[in-house]
Amino acid sequence: MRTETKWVENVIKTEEYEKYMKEGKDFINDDEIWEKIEKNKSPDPARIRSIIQKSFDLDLLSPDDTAALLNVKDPQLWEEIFDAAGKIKRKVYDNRIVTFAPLYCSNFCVNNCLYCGFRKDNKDEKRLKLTLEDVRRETEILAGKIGHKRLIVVYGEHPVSDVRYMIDTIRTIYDVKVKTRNGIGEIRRVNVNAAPMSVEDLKALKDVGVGTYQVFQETYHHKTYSEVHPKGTLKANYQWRLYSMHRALEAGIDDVAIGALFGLYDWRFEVMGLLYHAMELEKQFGIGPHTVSFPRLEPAQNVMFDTQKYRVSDENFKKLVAVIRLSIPYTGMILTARENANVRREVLPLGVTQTDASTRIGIGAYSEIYGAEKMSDKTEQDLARQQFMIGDPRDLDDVIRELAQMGYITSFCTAGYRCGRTGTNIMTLLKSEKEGQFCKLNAILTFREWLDDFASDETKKIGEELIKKEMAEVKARVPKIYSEKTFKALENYHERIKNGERDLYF
Amino acid sequence: MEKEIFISECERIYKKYGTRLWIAESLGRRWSYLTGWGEERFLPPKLVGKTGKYGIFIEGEDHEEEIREDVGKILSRFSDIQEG
Repeated sequence: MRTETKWVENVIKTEEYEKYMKEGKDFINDDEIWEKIEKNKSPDPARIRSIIQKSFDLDLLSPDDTAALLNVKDPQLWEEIFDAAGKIKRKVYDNRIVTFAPLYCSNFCVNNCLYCGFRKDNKDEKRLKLTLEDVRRETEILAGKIGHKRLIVVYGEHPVSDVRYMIDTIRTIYDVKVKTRNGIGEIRRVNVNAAPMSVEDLKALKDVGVGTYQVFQETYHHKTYSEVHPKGTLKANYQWRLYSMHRALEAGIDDVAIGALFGLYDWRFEVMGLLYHAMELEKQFGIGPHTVSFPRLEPAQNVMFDTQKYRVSDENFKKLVAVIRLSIPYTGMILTARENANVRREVLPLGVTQTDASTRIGIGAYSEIYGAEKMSDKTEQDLARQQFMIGDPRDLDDVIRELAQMGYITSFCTAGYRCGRTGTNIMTLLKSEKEGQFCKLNAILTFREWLDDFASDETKKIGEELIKKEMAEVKARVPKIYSEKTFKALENYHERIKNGERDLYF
Repeated sequence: MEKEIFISECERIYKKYGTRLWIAESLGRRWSYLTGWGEERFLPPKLVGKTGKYGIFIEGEDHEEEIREDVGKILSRFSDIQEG
């Protein structure tokens, strides 16, 4: 306990965020946000249509424009916004959806957030931390049995899961290689969801080669933030958290991810908060958020928070996703298995770029469930060792098949961060619509790998048709977008993968 | 200063051949972008040289052999560049 207290005392370095503040104030001005929302009430339809058009330029919208979108009441105009959100996503990322899985490594936590099952006063939570051997076993299931290529690793904030533990677990994950049906399964990109860290710790994390560093602000509303994160805990410091991405970029981690936990405060305010955060990152570093997440608050064990007051309805959830897509048009957007299958079907076309599948968030749950003989065990969730209940526990194979039927190709691409398409470079590519062209090629190649290594017969049949269609679409873009050389290289790589080679990319 | 000269030498190679070329920093499996020149042509990336933490990539195969040779020459002069 003394060690824990001492550790907590040394985490926050005030000088590392105060230097970014102006006259002691951070970049979220609650009053200004509400003024914008109020000022832009009852927007003229012509103005909304002009804002929709503006978002196709792929630059951030202004706070006034975003506030106007949030105030739309006309169902017909919302349909136009939804339609534009899907089109913008395709303009930037084409029709690919990237998949990943979360890997919860520990649920020890020094914080006491009222809405979270991991909070330290929840005595019914079984506290667990994966050993490196456990991590290896979990990764073997994820990479060798399910077929994931990218993970997001999640840690509670606690000295037992400090940056040294994070580095060891990430190294262990990267080292795993598993023989599959026709090749080798491995995790090629590890993204990190962890507590705010110092620049020194972030530099150490950077050196192990992480993909994206993700910290959610939870709520951008100062007063609500103070209420749900009790005084005296690390997480009570709003600014330490708010400036996490500043420190990450300062440490050289150039793919950063932001998010808000919808349901803690008014959803319109949180969307505005996300926009201001993106504006600030662009202003300070020339790099916006690599992804934006928008989880909705879900039931958890022994929470102390009224989950109904600011509950986001399914209808409003669709609206907020579409407005984020229009407001931060270039960003990746993550819809997770917190949401049930029906909601995911409805929301995915509104600008989503990434989703998870075969998701288990209990500590050590993958090897337990996917290693089990009985298929009936697969849907069980143990709330006593997970942060919240997930809504869509479907297998990756089922999700991929459904995505294919909806016209999406599942991508396992991790090419960008392994050849320097990161930071300012990827920002330029996203805004100039070039990244989507790379996405299309790499989606075909990684989908080919997955079909050959992991797909069920039913999914493979549908997947083969999809690959034919995608190849034809690439060919149709010659010579306007792709050269003949590109198409030949794609055919060559595709054949080589069919013959057992792996990890070929553009 | 040494890093600036290294970067300008890489730019000179780009200007000589016109093949897209960029420098990235190696971090475990990750290569983080540092700087680069030329238009994307949607061709596979190739690592044509590495010194310390830095790698030089080109896109496609145009002039690959000549670029590798020129890159090799400058890398031998900057073999100890480590920090960004």
